[in-house]
Amino acid sequence: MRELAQLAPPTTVWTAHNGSTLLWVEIVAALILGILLAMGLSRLPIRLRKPIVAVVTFAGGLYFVLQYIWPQAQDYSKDEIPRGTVEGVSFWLQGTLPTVTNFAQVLGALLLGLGISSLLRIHISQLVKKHKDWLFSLTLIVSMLAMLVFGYWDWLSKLGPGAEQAVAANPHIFPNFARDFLFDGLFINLDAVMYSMIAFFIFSAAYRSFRLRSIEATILLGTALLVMLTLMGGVLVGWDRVVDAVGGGGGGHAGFLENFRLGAIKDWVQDNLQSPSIRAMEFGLAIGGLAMSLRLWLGIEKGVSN
Amino acid sequence: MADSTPEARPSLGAKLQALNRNALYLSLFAVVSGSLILTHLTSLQVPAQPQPCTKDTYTLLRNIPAGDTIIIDTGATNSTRGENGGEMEAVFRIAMRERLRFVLYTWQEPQCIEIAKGVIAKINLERRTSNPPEPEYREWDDYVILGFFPDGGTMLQTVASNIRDAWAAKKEKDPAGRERSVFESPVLKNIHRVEDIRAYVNIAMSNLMPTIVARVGRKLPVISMITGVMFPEQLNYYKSGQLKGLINGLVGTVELETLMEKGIDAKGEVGGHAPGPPVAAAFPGEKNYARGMDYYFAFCCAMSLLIVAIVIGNVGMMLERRRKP
Repeated sequence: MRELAQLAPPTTVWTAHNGSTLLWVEIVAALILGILLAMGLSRLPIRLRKPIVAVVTFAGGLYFVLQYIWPQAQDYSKDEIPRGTVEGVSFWLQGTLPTVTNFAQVLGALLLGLGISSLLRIHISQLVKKHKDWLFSLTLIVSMLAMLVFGYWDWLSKLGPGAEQAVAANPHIFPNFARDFLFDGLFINLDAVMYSMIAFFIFSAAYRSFRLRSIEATILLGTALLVMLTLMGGVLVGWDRVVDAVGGGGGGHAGFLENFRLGAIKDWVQDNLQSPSIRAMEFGLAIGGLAMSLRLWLGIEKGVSN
Repeated sequence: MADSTPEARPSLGAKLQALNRNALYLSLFAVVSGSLILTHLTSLQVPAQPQPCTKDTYTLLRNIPAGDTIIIDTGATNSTRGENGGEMEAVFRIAMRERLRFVLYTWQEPQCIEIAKGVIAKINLERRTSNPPEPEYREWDDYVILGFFPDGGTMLQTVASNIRDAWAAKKEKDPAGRERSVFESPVLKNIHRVEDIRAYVNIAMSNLMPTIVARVGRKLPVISMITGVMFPEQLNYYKSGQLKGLINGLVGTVELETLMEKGIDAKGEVGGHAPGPPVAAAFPGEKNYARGMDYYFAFCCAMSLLIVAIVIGNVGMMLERRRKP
């Protein structure tokens, strides 16, 4: 029996099964512990809180810096025994990475929850105080709750063997219909509408601002027109046909005319002007980002140190 | 005494420089709506000239052996459906026709998975109703959905280090409805290292690609399918070889659809007939022109209208300058 027992790994606090009581107890305990920890931290005086935040930030940063710079074993296996300190640290880094990743995912998900709670706090308070735009707050809360209720109802209705196929066969089952109506019918279309409105503003702004007022503006306008023309396949192909027709039977003359293909002009502008400029900006941004990260990591950034 | 002098009427130049904003909006609305309706009624096809980055994307995807696995990291929402929506449809169509297996997840927005599921359902319906009918793509056997990762950067670092550990907690339902590890599915059962994955396709509206390239770019080819506005920035990564493929928004989607229709022959010509095995074969007789081409004529008309509006404004400015001493 002992041999057979080895086939299934023993259940520990880290390997509780989905839906098991142990997992639910762990989730509730972790939530309470997390809330208590957050409350405790927020009640600490700033001079005590600062070093805790700085140390945690530094430790987190150091872990990921080491992930990059520390030599990594090519075919690491959990069963191997390290030879020496370098390999020991390497094994520890590789072995703990999945746990740290899971922790980061959970932390990220908690931040989503934090965002929702903050949004609700603000809008419920606006609603209660009958603020000027309280109707918008009410719309937001009702929409959020409706999506939450029908989203979970639909999800629950698809649990169990064959349930998903039953819903697929009959999409008019109420929770599924309501969820589809809210998500596919309303939300995603409103999302598309919001973004497509930008086109109208861009159109109006381009008409008013693209004027030949100076040499710089003329260069900008010329480049913009070139880009717009090359985005239109019909123009690109038509222009090239004209170049081919003028070039005739080939030879040196036709070779020279190749330079006047719209695509060739665009490529020249893209390769010699646009890309190098963007590359330079990217380098600048990256160096700035590196400096900022260093300041955050070492705890000398204003938000951390003050 | 009140001034009874009549106000000077604005000149033609001034009028051309100050067209009514609502008239501009209305003209754009009319042109885009009209061209969309026309495309729908006539199945209009605008020619496209695929760029090298689109050709590389298609060649890479088209030459992955059937049954191999790719990652599709989707960030397509309906706010950018004109660009990312078409890209996503095209990549799903290519994957399904070649019988590629794929892992689908997002670390951009939780809603992206729901959007992608809708697109898969739409293409499955097309396959079911095609003549002759093609087999549907099924979750678990042909693809797995890993869901939303709130911290994608860290997840990718673990994927690069040990893919099995990174997704160890991920479970999917098998056809019998039992929840099992995704690594038991046909999609991932032969995947032991990230190098076993044949390509990483990132569909995004923002610039997440540098994080992906930094984490896994040395271990598998990365393809970026982005919105037009992000294209110039990402072109540097393609030129330096860090990206193996790049799709430029709606225009790139139309180019990809053109390549699906025409293919690339042995000499590298789009739609050519050079003897020898093609660089990337077409999908003849299939629905290749889809969402990209549906929007392309409207896009070209909107661009033309924009150019006309700019010309009108500048003509007005020149007339006004000439009129003034």
